[in-house]
Amino acid sequence: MAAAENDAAKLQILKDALYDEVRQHGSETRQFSQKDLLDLNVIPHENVALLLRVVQGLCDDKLFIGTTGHVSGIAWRWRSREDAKKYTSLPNDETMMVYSVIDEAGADGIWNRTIKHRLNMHEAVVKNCIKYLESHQYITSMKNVEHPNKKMYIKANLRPSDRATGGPWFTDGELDTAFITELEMIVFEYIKNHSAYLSSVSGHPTATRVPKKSIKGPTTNGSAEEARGVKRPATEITNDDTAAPHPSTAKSSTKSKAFLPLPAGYRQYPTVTEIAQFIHDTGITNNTTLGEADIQQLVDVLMYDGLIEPLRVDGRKGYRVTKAAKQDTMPFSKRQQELEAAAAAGVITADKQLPLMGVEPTSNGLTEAPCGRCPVFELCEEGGPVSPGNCVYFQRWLGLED
Amino acid sequence: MPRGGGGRGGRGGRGGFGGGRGGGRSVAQNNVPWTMDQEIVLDGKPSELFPPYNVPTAPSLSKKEEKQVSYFLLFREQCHDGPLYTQARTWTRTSDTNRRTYGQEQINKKYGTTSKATTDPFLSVPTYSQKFQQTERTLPDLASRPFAKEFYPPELHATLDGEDEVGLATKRRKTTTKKTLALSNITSLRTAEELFMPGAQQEPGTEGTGPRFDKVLEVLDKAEKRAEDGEDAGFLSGEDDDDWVKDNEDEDGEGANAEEEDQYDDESGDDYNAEQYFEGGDEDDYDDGGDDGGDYM
Amino acid sequence: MLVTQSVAELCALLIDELHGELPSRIFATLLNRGRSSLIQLVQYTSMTPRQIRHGLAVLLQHNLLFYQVDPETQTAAYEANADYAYNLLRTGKILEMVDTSYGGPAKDVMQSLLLLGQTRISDLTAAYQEKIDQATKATNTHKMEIDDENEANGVNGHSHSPKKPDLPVKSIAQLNSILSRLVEAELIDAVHARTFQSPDDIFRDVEKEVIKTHFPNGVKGGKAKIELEESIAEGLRKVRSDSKSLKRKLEQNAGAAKRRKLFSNGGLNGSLNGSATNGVHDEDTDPGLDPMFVIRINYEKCLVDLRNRRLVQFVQETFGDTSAYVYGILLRLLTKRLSRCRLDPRMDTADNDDEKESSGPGFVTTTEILDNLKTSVDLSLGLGKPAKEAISVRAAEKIQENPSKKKIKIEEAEVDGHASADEDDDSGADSDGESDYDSDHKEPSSGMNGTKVKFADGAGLKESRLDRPAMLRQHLLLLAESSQRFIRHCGQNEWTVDFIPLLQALREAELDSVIERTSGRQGLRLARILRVKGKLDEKALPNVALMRKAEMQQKMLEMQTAGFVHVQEVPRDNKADVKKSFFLWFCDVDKSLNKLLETSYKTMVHCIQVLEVLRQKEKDILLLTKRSDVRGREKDVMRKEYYDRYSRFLENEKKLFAQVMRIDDLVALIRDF
Repeated sequence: MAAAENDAAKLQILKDALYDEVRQHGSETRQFSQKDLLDLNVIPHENVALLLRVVQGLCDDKLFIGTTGHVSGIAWRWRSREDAKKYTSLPNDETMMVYSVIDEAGADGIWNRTIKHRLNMHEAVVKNCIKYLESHQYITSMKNVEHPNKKMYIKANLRPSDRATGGPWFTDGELDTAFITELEMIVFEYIKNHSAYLSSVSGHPTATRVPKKSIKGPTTNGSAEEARGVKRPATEITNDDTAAPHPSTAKSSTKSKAFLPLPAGYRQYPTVTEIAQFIHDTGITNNTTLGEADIQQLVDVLMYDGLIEPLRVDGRKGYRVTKAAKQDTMPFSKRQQELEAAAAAGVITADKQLPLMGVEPTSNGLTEAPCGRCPVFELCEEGGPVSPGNCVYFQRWLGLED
Repeated sequence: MPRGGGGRGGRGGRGGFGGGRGGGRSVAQNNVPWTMDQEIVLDGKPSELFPPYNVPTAPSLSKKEEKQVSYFLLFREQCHDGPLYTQARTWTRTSDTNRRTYGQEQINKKYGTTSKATTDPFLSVPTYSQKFQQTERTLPDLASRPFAKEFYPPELHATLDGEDEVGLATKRRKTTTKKTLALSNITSLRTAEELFMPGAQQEPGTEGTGPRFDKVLEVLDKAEKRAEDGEDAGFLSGEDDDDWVKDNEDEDGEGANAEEEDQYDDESGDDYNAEQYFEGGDEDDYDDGGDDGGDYM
Repeated sequence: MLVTQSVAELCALLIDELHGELPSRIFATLLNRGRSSLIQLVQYTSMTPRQIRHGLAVLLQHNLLFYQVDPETQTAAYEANADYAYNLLRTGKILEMVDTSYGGPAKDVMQSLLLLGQTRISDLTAAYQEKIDQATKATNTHKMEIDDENEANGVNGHSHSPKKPDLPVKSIAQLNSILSRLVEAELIDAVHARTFQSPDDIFRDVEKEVIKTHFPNGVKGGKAKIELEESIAEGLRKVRSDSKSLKRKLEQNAGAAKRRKLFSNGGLNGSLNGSATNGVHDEDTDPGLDPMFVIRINYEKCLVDLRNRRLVQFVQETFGDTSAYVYGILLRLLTKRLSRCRLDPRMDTADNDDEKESSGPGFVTTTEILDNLKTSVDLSLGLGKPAKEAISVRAAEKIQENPSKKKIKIEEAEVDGHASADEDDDSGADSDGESDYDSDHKEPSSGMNGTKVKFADGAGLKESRLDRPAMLRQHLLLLAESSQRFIRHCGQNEWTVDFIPLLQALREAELDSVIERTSGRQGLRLARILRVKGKLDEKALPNVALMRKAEMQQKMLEMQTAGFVHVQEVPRDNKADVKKSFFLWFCDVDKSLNKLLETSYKTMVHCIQVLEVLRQKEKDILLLTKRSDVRGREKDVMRKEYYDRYSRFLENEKKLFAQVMRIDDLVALIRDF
């Protein structure tokens, strides 16, 4: 008996030694083959039989997990003592098996029906096990954006994977549009301010036009311009080639600011990397980490929205705001406040909402006419029940409605 | 640098214009979405003729557009003032003709049911007030102006000469005198003020004064000419200062034009006479066709 | 132009609006029935032959018909010219364009020509002569002393003496020089034997002729076929060039060069005010301007100018005023020799050396542009001024290649001509300071015989002048760098515009604004994703667009109904179960644009129809305004109510026509530019 006891103690020592050594050599995901384990030089004389006994012991203790790797054949991963303890404290094998399946599924989680199929267990049994595990906070239910209607489970101490949650843009399985819009506005504002030149335009042509320093770094001396103060901007030449189609809405205060496009060859248009860095530095996204790929996604959306455009200068891909000269120079936060105030006052109707970013979309003859988006356009014809002759929309458009 | 209210996320943030929200009736998961028609109201009620619709507004006209439109309208006024104009449909149409038309017959009916071409000129009794209404032509007054006939098919030459008359008995317009083109006398659009509030714009130098003055001058000018030729001085009464219309009413049709031509006979620019130039005699063949076209029918 | 029902309706309405019911009715019948003879028209319309003949005459006079005379029966078959009819609604725009670019008197001549239709020069001259005589007579009768002096000097047409009728064209010499200028600008064309033959008829005739003379034994083999096509193309070009016969005659004329030098420079706003301005060649009636010629407006070239203006407007929206101004000058120089916006595939084959006009616009040099800029324009405006090191000169100055196009050098002689003319321009602008800005038309530009030469080559350049070319260059490079490619930097100091891709980009931009206005920014986002990525599975869209799936589906539906996006169903298996199919969304820009076009026509028709309804409603008032007894008896008939109703009607009429013209901006861009 003493020999047996002695043997058991020896085995325990080897188990501890092997376990500690393995943990030194890699993370929980690393798979150790038989050769890897032998090479650790824990098992004396490369005794395979002994190794197998030690490994079996560790598996029984749930400290090792046996897997079948693609290349290496049979292999093992280690598990933390903490986790292992959870296994060993479970009341029965069924519960342990269910827990094990959920554990294997990792951060992606697993559908309860998949558990049932995989273990070939009765539904009631699985249900019981899950109930036990959930009540003892071993596992928790989760939502997967790809399968919003499936009941999924995940180990309680894991955070669902990006694939399951949909990435940083999702909150509780829902696309967080408020968050996205907020970020888009910030990114847009950043690009706008770094891809257009803020200058102060004076109402009077002879007033001084010292360029306001807005972009970090570059400043110019305004003296050369002042010298020719008598010259007029092209706007003032009533030459029709340059006349605006519609009177601009800009207020002509004496020292209004305006954005100007930057000359060709400008090579400091913000890149995605710079934008990502900026977002990171501001710390806006407190508990969500956004990678460059995520920022790229945002930037792409802004590009599809027609708010910014990519530009490659000297092999460097930067982004610049479109229609620079028409951009609002009001600071972001102020603009936001005004919009909110207007919304609260009910000034902005659902249909005529001020754009949160960029300039108002250009309109043309078609979109301004009653017919452009008319709901009964297809039915409308002279002599029909709906006709230009009895069109109430046209009456309204012409202001003839009583 | 945008400072951003990281915490300020209260807005809906959808950025959509005009109700992109699916609402409770949004498309079910595996439905085929495009079978649903947005315009069909699902509540079973009959749809309205004009469903609620947020009618857009047009921005007010820019200076350039103001100019373009007023040039167009002025051009239209000049067209209407010209000899080739025939009255527009609006004035001949009664209010219930706004019907759908099927087939040529009905389309034909749509036009000029009361047009003077179809009414008997001998039976329709003129009323007093008609006297002051501007006479609308139903046929253009081609005889009053020259044409570059070489660019017309021969079958129209007689018409261009004003020889396409109803019945040959009418006085032949064939003249040996030269015809002149007339430029329009209308130089500006009449505003509502000019027409209805004559007192409102008397100071000289204002926009409206020019054309009005022009008119006066023209009338005076014409009156003078006529006076020289011993014509009716009643012309000055201002019954109508539109010489084209006047001509049209004139049975004679030569009226003022003949006078004006005389003074240019010696002008160097007149060495070309469109009519004589093409007077090959062949258009005489077409005179007969003028007999109300009976032979064509 | 594809004549759909809406187009036909629109054309008929326009003709009715301008020329009256009779021609409109015949025109509508011709559009609906196709080519018809006089007798057929009588049958279709139940009108008398006499009515039909009168109507046809009016239509022909206004260039609204094609016809072909049967050589045997001497009867003609008539065809509607829908393009010209449509162009009627551009009358206001064209007149405004001529007014701005060529001055008030030129606009007056253009307007007369539009009004009179095709006109023999001698007839037009006589008409103007009469008008001038009338005015002179009136002047003599009605006022006495001071104005005579004024008249003799003719200092300034704008010195509003209220007693003097203000004739835009004050002498026949002025008329002649305006005509020459408009002919040289190709805004006016000569009418020739085949002007009223439809393009198809011309093609058939030319084809017949070519086969008869060159291929009497038939066309066999691929090579012969190509030869045939080339010969036909050449024949067609020859016919087309007949309309430029008057221009050629003017150019051949010795006086032409001299006159061009004096007049063509003021293209922007050169007005010919006051007879003294052209006093020098008062007697110089250009012998090239044959009074026998019959002329008419050339819409093709008008469209080129309207297109330039539209492009400038786009640049203005994209980059601002100063760049737009520079662009306008560049376009004007570049399109001087461009006769039409679009090439005709039947006659403008890839390379024909014999005719310059059809082989692309060529290019303009930086110097040419600089020489034509108003000296009063401050080029330092409109562009940001970053630090020098933030600019990559190499990237900015990159020459952009387009090897498929050949370059044609604009002759040096012409360049010189402009330069010298512009010095005159400068002197006027510089010495006169502020007042030049009051009105464009006052700007003494063309025809001014200024003597002050401001900057001769290399002499007395002020320091500030030195960087003006550099500033100009910055604007040009900005345009060349743009994603729309407004300009192509095609060689050192050489600039050109690739109109075809540029206009396609602008058409897309216009479509985008319709989409954004209709379906919001998210709709635009989805459409543009599809345009970039091609066909895309519905499942892939929400992730790219960062939109909720349900919202995305709703938007797509909405846009499909509007014709902005299209869907293709791809069955997963043979059973073609709809529920299992893939649905691929895509964006067919041309299809969407065509739909926009049709919607535009229909909307224009609606606007005019609404106007007609308003007219019916206010019929009594409108008839009253036409009554001749109103004037003189105002007090009896004038009431406040009438005034209100009438002015409201005028307001609405204006609004409706303005809308039609705005919609035409879209139509022109999609269809004609």
